[in-house]
This record gives sequence, C-alpha cells and structure tokens, in this order.
Amino acid sequence: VNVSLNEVEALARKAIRGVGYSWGLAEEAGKSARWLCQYDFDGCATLARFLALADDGQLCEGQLSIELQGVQIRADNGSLVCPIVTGSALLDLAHLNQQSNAELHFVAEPELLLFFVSSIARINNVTLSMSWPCGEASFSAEHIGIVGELPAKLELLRLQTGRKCGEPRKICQRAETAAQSWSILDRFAQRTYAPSTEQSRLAGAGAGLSDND
Amino acid sequence: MIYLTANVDGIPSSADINRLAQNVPFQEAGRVSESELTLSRANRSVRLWSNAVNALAKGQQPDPTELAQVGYLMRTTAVYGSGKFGAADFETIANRVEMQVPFQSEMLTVYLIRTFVRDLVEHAAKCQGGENAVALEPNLARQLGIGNSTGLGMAPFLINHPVLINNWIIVREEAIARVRNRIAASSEEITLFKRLLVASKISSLQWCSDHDYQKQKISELNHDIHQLIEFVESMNWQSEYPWNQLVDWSIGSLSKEGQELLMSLVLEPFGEQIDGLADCMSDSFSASFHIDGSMAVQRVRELIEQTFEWALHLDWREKNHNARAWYISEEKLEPRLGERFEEPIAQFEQPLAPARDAVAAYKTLSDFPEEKSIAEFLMKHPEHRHTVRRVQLSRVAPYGEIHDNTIAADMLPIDLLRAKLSFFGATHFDPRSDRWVRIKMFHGAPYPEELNQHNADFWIYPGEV
Repeated sequence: VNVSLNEVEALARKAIRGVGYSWGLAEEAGKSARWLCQYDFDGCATLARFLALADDGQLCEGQLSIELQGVQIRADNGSLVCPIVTGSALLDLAHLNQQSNAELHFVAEPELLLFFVSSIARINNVTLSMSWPCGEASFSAEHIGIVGELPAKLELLRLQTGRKCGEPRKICQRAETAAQSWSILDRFAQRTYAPSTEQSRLAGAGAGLSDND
Repeated sequence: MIYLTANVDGIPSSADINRLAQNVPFQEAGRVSESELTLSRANRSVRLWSNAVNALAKGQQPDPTELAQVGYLMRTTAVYGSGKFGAADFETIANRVEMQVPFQSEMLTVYLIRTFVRDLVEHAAKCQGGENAVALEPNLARQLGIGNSTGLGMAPFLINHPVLINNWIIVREEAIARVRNRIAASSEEITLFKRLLVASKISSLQWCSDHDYQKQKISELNHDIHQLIEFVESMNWQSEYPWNQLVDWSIGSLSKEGQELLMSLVLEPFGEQIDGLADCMSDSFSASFHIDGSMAVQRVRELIEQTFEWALHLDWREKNHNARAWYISEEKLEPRLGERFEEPIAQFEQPLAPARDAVAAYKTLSDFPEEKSIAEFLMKHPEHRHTVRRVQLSRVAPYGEIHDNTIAADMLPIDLLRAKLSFFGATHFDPRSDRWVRIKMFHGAPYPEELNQHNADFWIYPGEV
C-alpha cells in the first residue's frame, strides 16, 4: 500500500497506544515511524514487528544508568530494551549532556531509535554516530547516512559524537509498505476504538436534526 | 444526492480522472493519492435545488427571498486534506507561497465547489428546459454561498494543534494591538469603518437560527450593533488613539458578540499594516515537539500553575467536572463525545482533556524532588509525557490552551467548532444541536471569472461587491 506520512504517524500512534503505551510515548512512536518512512525505511514493517513483541510482553523499559563516561541502558534478565522508551529517554537527556555517549544492550528493533538519535543530533547541533557490529550510521542537521543494515535485535549499540558516514539518505514524501504490515498496525489501532452502541450513535455524534433538507 | 470532489494538484490526466471515479464515490472507504490535495463531498439543499432548477428551466429567476433564507444550494461536510485518505501531506505543499497560510487548499476546494454548484444548477436547468432555460443572474448567484455542516470531528483539532491555534490567535491579537496603537484615524479609515459597520448590521439581521443558545446571541449582537453605531457617530474621532477608545468602550458596553465583531471591524481599514501577519499563522516549528528534559520539576509545576491555574481549583473528583469522555467510535472512526459514567467508554478515552491531565501531573510532580530533571520524572511517569510536552509548549504558545474544561457536563462542543470556523470566514453560524452546526462560506463572494483586486477584500459585507 501507498500511504501518506500523516497516515503512518496517525496509525502508528494509535497502534502503540493499542498495545498499552502512554499517549506521550505513542506520540513519539508515531514520529519515529514517520521518520523511518520519510528516510526510505519500511517503518511500518519495523513497527509491526515491534508491536508483536510489545504485545507479547517481551520488552522492558530498560535499566538506565547515567555514569561519568556516559549513559548505560541494559535490559532486565532475558528481555529486550524497548526502543521507544529508551529513545524517548535519551532524547529527553539530550538537553542535559551536550556530548551524548551511550551504550545500549539488547535492543529490540533498533531502527525505531533512529528518529530519536537524529533529533538529539539536531538539538545539540553535533554529528552523532551510531555503531553496531556490522554497521554504522551518522546523523547531523545536514546529513543522514547509514552503512549496513540494522537487524531486528542488537546485543550492543554505541552512540557517540563522530563523523559523517554513508551516502545521504533518500528523502521520501510517501510510504510504501506491504498490506500485511499495514493491517497489523490497523489491528492494534482498532483496540483504541470504542465498540459501537446505540447511545453512541445517537448521542455521541450529535445526531438528531436531519441534515437532509 | 451527494456529490464528491477531489482537488487535484495540477491538471488531472484522464487516467487520474478514471482512478478518482473509482475511489472518490466511496467516500471514506476510497483512496486518493499524492496528486490530490483534498477530498470533500456536498449534499444538495433538496427543496431549494429543485425550485431553482425549475425556475431557471422555465426562463425565470428563482425566488430571491427563498434563496436568501437558506443562502446556498449545496452544503459540504468534511473537507479532508493533509494526507487524509492518502492525499498529499501538507508538508509537500507547505513551501509554496500561496499555500503558506493554513488551510488554503481546503478553502480553495470549497470556493471551487461553490462555483461548480452554480454551473451545475444552470446545466440541470438547461437539460430540463432546453432553449427556454436561463442562467442565474450574477447578483443572485453571488448571494449564494456554499453551506457546510460540521460535527464533532473538528473539535479535537483545536486541542491537538496547540501551536497552530496559538499562532492564529496571536496573529489576531497582534493585528488588533497594531490598530489600537494608532494615534490618529484618517477620514478615509473612518468612512470605510462606518460603511462596513452598517453592512454588518444587514448581515446580522440576515442571520437566522432555531437554536435558543444562538438566537440569544444574535439578538444581543443586533442590540450591540445598534449601540455601536450610535457610539461611533457620537465619539470624538479627533482625540488621540480613537480606535483604542472604541475598543475600551466596547468592553464595558457590549456583549461578547458585539466586542468580537468590533475587533474584526477595526482591522478592515488596515490591510496594509496587518495582512502580512497571515504568513505567521502556520505551524512550522516542528522542534517544539521535543521535550526539554533538563527542565527542573519545579519549573514544570510553575508552567502548569501559569497555564492551568483555573483548573487547579476545581475538584476533579466531582462528576460534573469529568462527566464526559472523548473517544473514537469503531463504527465510523470518528470522534465522539460520551458520558463517562453511563457508557463503557472510559478505557477508550482520547487525550482531549488537557486541564484534567495537567492537574493530575501537577499532583504527581508535587511528590517528586523539585530540583530533579523532568527527564528523570518521565522515566518513572510516562503517563504524564503528553502533558509535560503541552506544558512546555506554553512557553512558545501562550494561546495554545483552551481555558475551560473540555469534559465538563455542561461543555458545548459547538463553541469549539465556532472558534475554528470563524478563522475560515464562516458566517451565519447555526447550531443544529449542541454538537453539530451549519454555516455559510463565500456568501456574497465574486466568482472566479469576476474576481479582481477591487472586489477581493470586502465581499463578506452585504452590498460591497
């Protein structure tokens, strides 16, 4: 399916809410999915996989510790760190420490972190480098480049100031995704809709006087 | 009968038209593409339409009194844009000069539908009457605006776009301030102002509604205009800051309806001084989305006190103060407003009660060390994240919050609708219940073939075109 970026953001926000995230985190997730689609990733497919994990209770908020040499984020025993919770926390911290330096252990769907890292780079006006065993990405206000692919989970991901790498990422105005991914998002979003009742139909929408005259 | 339209960016190809023909009739179930800017539909005003066609087909003009009573031949409902149903995102057109003011493509759609409706009624008359049929007289055609029925769907927009709404209000406040700060009034300015004031009287007398709430307001407005005309004739225009004097007088003497009308009227002679402000109405400040996690807990509490001071004094346990809940219905995916304590909707509630949420966050913040950063607070309390974001926005968007309770038992959604519609130049606001309304747009406006620089500014006032 071919959808607008606003549609991606709106459906992503509802879907994340549908698996129990707070409204504020759902807003972040909506932006994250939109960002991915804008930079030519299949943000909907990534989010669909993430939603399945989240709904299955396989994610944790992550133990965050701020130490002298930077930020450490680790998962609880056996689970994976949530990229939305972690990304939001790192983004909040961006205003606190100019030189971002973080290590993330056992992260689920790390692609969803890209929006947050990119935003941190813009806020602090630096070039941030994100590296993992078989790839690297760099973010600044002028350049976003990625070398290698991000797997569905990562044991170790490093974040530090660095130099730009990779070709500038293509910027898209639309999102293309498989119908299956879109319907997974839609299925979780449905959980935020109230079942229809007679009272809702009559009173909720404010019917009454006919509009057909 | 329902007519559907899509506003295509550029000249549509025959393939585009075929594609749209297969999608647009399905309304919300159809899809449009990035070549389309908006999607809308319109219903005929059944009785008036057939009377107009019958008259024109016989070579006569429709009854002007009857036309004036309704004021349009068709009503649009929702006008979807900005990526809805697959249309182009606003961001794709936001850099075009003519699209920088918000909702320009939607407004253009409505204006073009009005023109299409006039052409269609003439076409239908010709089909029916053949050579006997005549066109609508231009003066009569111009008195036909386009109707619009709007429901609850529009209300959440005001709450979901605090920066945008702030920009609209701040631009208007700035415009009013510029006029009030003028030390003297020229005779041309005074003449134009008086002329438009008299025209407003005519417009207000044409305004009908069956809704008691609105009837009362219209009656107050008519009374206010009478008083205003008297005052304007008697005041000393030679004294310093005459516009400011006029506004000051209105605050003590007129109802809110009259005051608001006056605020709009005093802007009219000063297009050159204020029209440029319209370019500041869009929300291009995307960085404002990010939370400043370094802000101290105490500072966030202060911001809540500044913005929601009125709400901190309410007893939110009282049913009247949180009687309602906004939710999305599974049935039509539209926003609805329900009774929290009578319907099973609370678990589906949308975050459309910023004041209640701010008070809840304020209380939780009180138990948190005040020197700690809000970043640390949010790690422990993600449920307050949307509230902290809004509260921080109040620093750049002081007019972003509605200073009233959006879930109160006595809240009237039509007030929210009117606030937004007024920025679209809607006239003859006519509530049909406490949650949906009819309005008119482009009533009196020149049609595209007659539009020029001389008739573009004041057509909204009767007798000005």
